Amino acid sequence: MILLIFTCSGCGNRHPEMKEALHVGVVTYTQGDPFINAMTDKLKENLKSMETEDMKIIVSVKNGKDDQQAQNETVEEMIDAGCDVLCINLVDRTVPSRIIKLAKQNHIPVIFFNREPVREDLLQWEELYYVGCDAEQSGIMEGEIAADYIKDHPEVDKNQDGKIQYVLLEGEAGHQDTISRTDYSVKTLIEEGVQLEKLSYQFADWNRGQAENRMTRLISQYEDGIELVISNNDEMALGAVEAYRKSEYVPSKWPVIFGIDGLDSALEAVKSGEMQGTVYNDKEEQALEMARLSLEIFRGENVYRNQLKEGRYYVSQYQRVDSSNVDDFLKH
Amino acid sequence: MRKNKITFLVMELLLLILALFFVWKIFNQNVPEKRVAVVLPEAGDNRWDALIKGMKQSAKNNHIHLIICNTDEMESAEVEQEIIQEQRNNQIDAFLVWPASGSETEEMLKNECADVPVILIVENVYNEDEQEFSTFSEIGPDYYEMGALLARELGEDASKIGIVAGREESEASTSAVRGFSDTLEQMKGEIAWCYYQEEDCNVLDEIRARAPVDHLVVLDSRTLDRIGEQADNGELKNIRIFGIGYSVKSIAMLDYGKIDGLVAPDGYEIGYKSVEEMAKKLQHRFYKTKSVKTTIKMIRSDDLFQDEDIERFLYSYE
Amino acid sequence: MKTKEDKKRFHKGEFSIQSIIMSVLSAVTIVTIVIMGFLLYHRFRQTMDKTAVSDTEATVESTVERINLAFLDIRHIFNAANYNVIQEFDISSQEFGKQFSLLYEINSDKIQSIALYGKDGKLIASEPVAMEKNNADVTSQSWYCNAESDIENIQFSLPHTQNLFRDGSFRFYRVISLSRSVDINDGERPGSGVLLVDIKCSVIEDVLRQINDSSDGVYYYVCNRDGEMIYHPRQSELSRGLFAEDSSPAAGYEDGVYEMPSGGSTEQVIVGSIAYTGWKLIGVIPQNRQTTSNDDLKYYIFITIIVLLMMLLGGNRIISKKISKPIRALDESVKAYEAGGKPDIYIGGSTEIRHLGHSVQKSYEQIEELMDEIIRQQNERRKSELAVLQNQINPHFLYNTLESITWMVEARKNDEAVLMITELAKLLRVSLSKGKTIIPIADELQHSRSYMNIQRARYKDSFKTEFQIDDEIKDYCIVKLVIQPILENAIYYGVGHMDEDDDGKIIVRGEKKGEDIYISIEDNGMGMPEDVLQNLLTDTNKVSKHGSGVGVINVHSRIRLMFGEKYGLSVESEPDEGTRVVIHIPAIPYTRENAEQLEKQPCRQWRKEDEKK
Repeated sequence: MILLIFTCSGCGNRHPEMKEALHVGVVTYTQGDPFINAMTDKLKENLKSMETEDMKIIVSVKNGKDDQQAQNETVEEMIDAGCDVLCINLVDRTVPSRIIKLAKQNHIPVIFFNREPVREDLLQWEELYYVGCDAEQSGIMEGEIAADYIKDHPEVDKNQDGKIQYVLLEGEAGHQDTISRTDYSVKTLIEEGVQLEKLSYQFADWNRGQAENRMTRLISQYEDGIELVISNNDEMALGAVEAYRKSEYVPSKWPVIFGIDGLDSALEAVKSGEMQGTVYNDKEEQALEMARLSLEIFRGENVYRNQLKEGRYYVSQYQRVDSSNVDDFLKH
Repeated sequence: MRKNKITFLVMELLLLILALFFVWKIFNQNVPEKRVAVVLPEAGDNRWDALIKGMKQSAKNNHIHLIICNTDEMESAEVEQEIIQEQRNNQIDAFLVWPASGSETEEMLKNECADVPVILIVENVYNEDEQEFSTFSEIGPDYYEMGALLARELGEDASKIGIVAGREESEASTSAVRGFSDTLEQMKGEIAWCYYQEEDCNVLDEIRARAPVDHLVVLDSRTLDRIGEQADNGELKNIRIFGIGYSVKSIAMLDYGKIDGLVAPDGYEIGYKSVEEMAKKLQHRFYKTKSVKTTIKMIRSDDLFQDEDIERFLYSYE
Repeated sequence: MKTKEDKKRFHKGEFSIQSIIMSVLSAVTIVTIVIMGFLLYHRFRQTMDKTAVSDTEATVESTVERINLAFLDIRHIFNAANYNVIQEFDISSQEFGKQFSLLYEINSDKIQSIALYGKDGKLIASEPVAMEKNNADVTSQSWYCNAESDIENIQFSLPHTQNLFRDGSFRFYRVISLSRSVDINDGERPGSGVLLVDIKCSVIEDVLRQINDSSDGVYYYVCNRDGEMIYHPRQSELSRGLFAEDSSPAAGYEDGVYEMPSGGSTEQVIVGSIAYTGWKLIGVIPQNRQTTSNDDLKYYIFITIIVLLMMLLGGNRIISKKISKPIRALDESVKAYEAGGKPDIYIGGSTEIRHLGHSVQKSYEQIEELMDEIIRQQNERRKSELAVLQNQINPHFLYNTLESITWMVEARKNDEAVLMITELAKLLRVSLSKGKTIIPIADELQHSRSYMNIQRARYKDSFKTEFQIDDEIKDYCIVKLVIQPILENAIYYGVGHMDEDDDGKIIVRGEKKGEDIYISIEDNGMGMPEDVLQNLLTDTNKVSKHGSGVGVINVHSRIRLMFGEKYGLSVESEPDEGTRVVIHIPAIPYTRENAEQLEKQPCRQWRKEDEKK
């Protein structure tokens, strides 16, 4: 009898009214990707703003260290420590199986983002979702803004031979986004009636430094013969910009440079004229959608989930950015 | 005859019990591992990489199951309390806690963890009264000493020094600042201003708002990283920046010349030794845990690849 | 039931057969099984240890192969860079750049970077990144120095952090550097430089991590010939002094299996050599590793031992019970008999027990018989003595004699009366003999004489009596009242009814022959017919009508009872010729001891003397 009283009082001390808490676990694929880091920051911001009097939201961000195995272990750890929703940015999009299995076993819904798993994998369980963009669309838009610019600025064709000599900076060999963006940007340009002459395609692993290196070599090879630089992403585009900055050429002799992502630094470059355009990956919108979905999943509501494509997919729209509207995006 | 029979039956019974005991032992091979929860703010941040690596290695050696709590910023004892309360339902045998800043933390920890062993890691609980010692064991670097080392690094007669410290109500900040200023006094240096970084403030704005300085001493690792990124811009361009750094990023920034000097605690050691101590405590209930001051190292940019000892800082971060 | 006696027996060390069998069998069983168990465990343990060693050897071999292949690959890349690119193309040409970049692309999973430096450490080309760090100081780095000093060979460095490039990310890479002095084509001028290929450490680390993870207490590490660590699963602890690994002795060994002391116990160490670099892959099997399979084995063996023990103990108990049951039953039945039951002895079990049972049964039966015999004899004796007692105060004879005396007194034949009275007194005295049964022959003869004297008065001169006794027998023992009944018979059936002129005679002879004494009473009277003669000594029912009432049979019995079956009476008779009765007794000198002994234990003494013979 006495024991009972003691334990009750003990319990009373230790467990006052506990607020509800939503634990969101975010795992990126690497810690060095500024775009992903920016999106994650936005996601955190959004979730924090959705906190209420009786519901706290805790966002825990870890990264996969460029190793799918390490990412799997991290996910396991997070689940072990207690998690309600997972947001995963896969290292290797072809092997999400372990993560899916863990999530299923522990009944934790997963929102994959930015790096899209294969459709069959996503359909393994109804609580798997994807938030991202369509790489194809980004490629098309890049082609469109490039085509528009070229058509509006005949001085792009420096040697006036009716053809645009171009160089393409690619991400990773075999990477889905690389293939889509490369193919569609070039195709779109051609469809828009631009005559192209291919000089060189170079892989630079999405990396600024590598892109700079490649560009430097291309510059020494082709001198001022390069009229257009299309890049699969902004970082590599900025690497090309860097290469040209370090070269002997004045900005007026530079080729036109286009990228994809809409990083702040790229937007600055567009503003300053070093880049001519980029395609904005609306990380704000995606982050917001992810935050909304997480909250909804936790509360058991279905508003946003019902609006998803096939009940799983949220595809955000890219947006074209050039010097005319770059300020709008800088405000973000 | 009777006696015989009784003896016989007793022997058979004993043997049966023994056999069953061994059968049980075979099926019960695995002593359930002790579960230790680790409470760190922003547990996924790379400043904890080495610490967690050290903890994991020691946990493997001692058959302990680590649970690294999913957290983001822990501004106050209240937030930390909720995390701890959540874990109490998770069958936790012990806690390794980074004490949140503020003076309520000590009380909160005493209440929440009255019946499980607790070891503080990285820094000690904040106590306004500097002389009072906390009842918890703490395993971490000596912040006072780190402050002192930095002061010595700045050299004699250094003046126009601005200090950026972490939260005001944290033991790390107060000890480091004290260590720095005490040593600086001895060296006849002069501190221009001292600013305590609170969570939501933009540190660069704060620096700009204050008097210009020649040296900037940043006693908080995250702030150091942030400042270092901007070190090539604006006001920070000609300032010599020193600080306390936990992460690979800090060392890389040192390498690239963005910062000029760095005191690094050995995160791996903190993690490793904290789990070691906790393992000892969990094995022997009456073992008294000890506080350990872990190693710290002054790193200069020219040292980085000459000093073999640095390798272990770099290696354990990966 | 535990009685005091059982307890006493226990303490004295006397155990039942069952306990003896059980304890011996059990002890033997336990010892055997335990020894077997330990031997088995030891053997298994040995085998398992051997297996562990050979498994580790296999892993070391295959891993060394893998690493060798990986290094071979990398050396090919290196040589390709050297011969197919650097030697082929001028460094300023486009081809050079392209090929260089291609080489990197193809092998980017293994290579961190590939770079060509000219004299004084000037960077000529590098992939993937070309931006150098400001503070790199290439010429003082060991890979550069080694390449310059040893122009012939490819230099392998220890793993280290790369300190050359900046790629915009705040990261450090761990690499193993391969470097070599090479010849460059720079326009017309031949030049020289250093080719550097930095291999990602993960090439080695991934392999080693994999084999370290899958082992059971066994771990592997790589070091160079001088014992400097290249990879160790507990590297971080090593560099902080939290773990100790003394690699230098093992590093010096050639390939093989060795035993090395380590912190109190020994450990097995397997060494494999990696080609070209002089590095060693070392597998360590610590002595005290706790493997679950080891523990499992221990427990299984324990359980087996225990179950076997249980079964064998049970079996022992059954066997010992079965063996000892008949013995116990025998024992019980004997006990029952001793407690006063009938001799119903258990017959059963093995042949020996059966035989024992039989013998014991027979013995008991014999005992019963003998006891019956003894009782019977005692009864007889009692009867005889009773009869004698009767005879001692036989009223009939007494009346007659007293009558005679009265007649004599009345007839004033005082002298005859006195004689008669005196003789009667003597007779009575011997008859009583103070209650004794054994008297000296002299006394018996006196009794006989007295009797004859008295009878002569009655029978006048019907017959004559002669005593021809050897003097020596007078001091020997005899049962009292044996001669007189025979004399009585001789009178009544022999010569008592003869006339004077028939010359009736009774001769009593006594002589000692060796150990025996023969007293014969012979008369020449009527004799008796054959049938009467035969029944004389056997028919107990016949009670004498005339006189003393103690028959010849009685005499015969008494003599036999006292001295044994051998002795007694023998009768010869011829009708009308006469009768001869011989008393045969042993020659026992009459001493107080002898007499007392005979009184107490008739026959016994004589039996002893028999045995002595």
